[in-house]
Amino acid sequence: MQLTQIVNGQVTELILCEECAKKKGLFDPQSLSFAEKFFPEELKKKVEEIVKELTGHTVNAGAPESKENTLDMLAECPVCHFTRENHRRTGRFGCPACYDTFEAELKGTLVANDNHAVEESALTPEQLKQQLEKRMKEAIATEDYETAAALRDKLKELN
Amino acid sequence: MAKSFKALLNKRPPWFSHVGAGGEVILGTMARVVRNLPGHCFPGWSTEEGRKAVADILLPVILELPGNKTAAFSAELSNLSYTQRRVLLERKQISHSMAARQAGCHIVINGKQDTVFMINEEEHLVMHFFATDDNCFPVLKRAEKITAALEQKLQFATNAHGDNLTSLPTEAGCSVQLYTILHLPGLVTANMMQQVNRALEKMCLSISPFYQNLGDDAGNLFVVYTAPIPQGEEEEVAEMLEQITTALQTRECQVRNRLIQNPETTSMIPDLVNRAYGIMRYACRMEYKEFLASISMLKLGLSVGFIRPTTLSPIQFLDKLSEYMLETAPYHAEYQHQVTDSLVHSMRCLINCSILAEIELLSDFYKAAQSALTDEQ
Repeated sequence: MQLTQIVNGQVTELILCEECAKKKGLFDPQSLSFAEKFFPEELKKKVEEIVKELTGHTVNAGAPESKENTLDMLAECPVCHFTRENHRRTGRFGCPACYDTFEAELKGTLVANDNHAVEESALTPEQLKQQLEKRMKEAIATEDYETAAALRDKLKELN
Repeated sequence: MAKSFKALLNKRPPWFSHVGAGGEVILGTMARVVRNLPGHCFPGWSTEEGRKAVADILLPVILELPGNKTAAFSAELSNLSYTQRRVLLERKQISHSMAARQAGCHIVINGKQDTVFMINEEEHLVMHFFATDDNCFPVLKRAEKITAALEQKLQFATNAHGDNLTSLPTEAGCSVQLYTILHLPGLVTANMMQQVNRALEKMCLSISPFYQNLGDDAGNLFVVYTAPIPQGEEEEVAEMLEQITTALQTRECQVRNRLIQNPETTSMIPDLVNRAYGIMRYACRMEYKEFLASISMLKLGLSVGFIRPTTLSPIQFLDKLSEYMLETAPYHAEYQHQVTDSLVHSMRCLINCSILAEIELLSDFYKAAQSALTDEQ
């Protein structure tokens, strides 16, 4: 689960695995969006509490503190005036020059694509083993045998 | 002399023209190539002036290409009516996102109608190359040739490594996307499309209905396509796609044979074919989706030898069916024949008279029923 909080252009990102999200009471995206609409202050406090609790431990799942999180969301491309926030919202760029302007954002995208690797790096070997076994069972249940085989091989390596 | 919209409709695009090397299973292939100009906003972020500036640069160069100088159709999207855009969509000559565009967005279709240039679609220039071949190599070669010709006259946006830049950063560095159109009535009848879908997913390929707006299996036609292919890997991916589509073609034929040979399902295909014939022959009104399903069954009936055209050759017969697929498409019927009813009722007469009367039903069930009737008499 990924929570993004933007206050005065400062971004705080919180990435939690399914189990941790459930433990913190953040298990239902629909009720989250409901809470955001009707109790914004309470939700803000709740997120701040969780961030405080997790800072230095598992915020961004143990990844080194990212420069990306403190990037100015209002930074814009000098050619097309496309902002970083526009990119976050649409996943697109405004013009070819945006590739130079938002170079850091591009690198961030590449890191974010490897979410599982980041999540796994934050786990102890025992936790990792359990998680891999769980994912393997899920893959077998959905008849995704290729993923199951890959996970089995990973487990073998761990053992 | 540029072609008028009416003249454009006189000729059918490749996928609806004739049966290619892939028979009635592999209908054709397509390559999609995108390029952008440096220093200009991507269409999704640009103003009307910005789009016009891009069109002013691209359009003259495109119209100068061999094959486009004469007999090409060229139009600004804002000059096309809603019906005309829907007609182009039915012919698969523009994308859905292009159909929704306005001023500053142009379309150029070459004389053979096998190449479409879309200016200011989601990218500055989107080119679609069509063919009726059973593999993607010919369209890939044509795409490379035309793109190289354009690159001689235009400078496209690239990064320091020479990778093409696109509005979607995840697609940057990709050169082409390949598509194959397949007719798979056997696999649909045998309820195997979910397995096909899953198998293709494993090969990093996707499958979607050819007529997405008509439901999951309209006409049993499907598009199998690759993700945008990174530069330099085109031939490798094209070869993989060719192997996959050939495997699907083989599987489709095996399933058809198995359905016929298995005693439990042996009546399934003759039943479907005969029903389709009955509906096509005698129905006065029907929806386009039902019409496509019937066409698909007649093609299936022809391929497994349950029906035989009496005067036309099998190729001519399939070609006629493909022609009807376009003629009776709702917006074609509206534009060309002023049929505004959503049910293609008046088109029925045309089809009943000209082709179905020529069909001879050959299925054993039909023959058995006929001989039983003769015996009774």
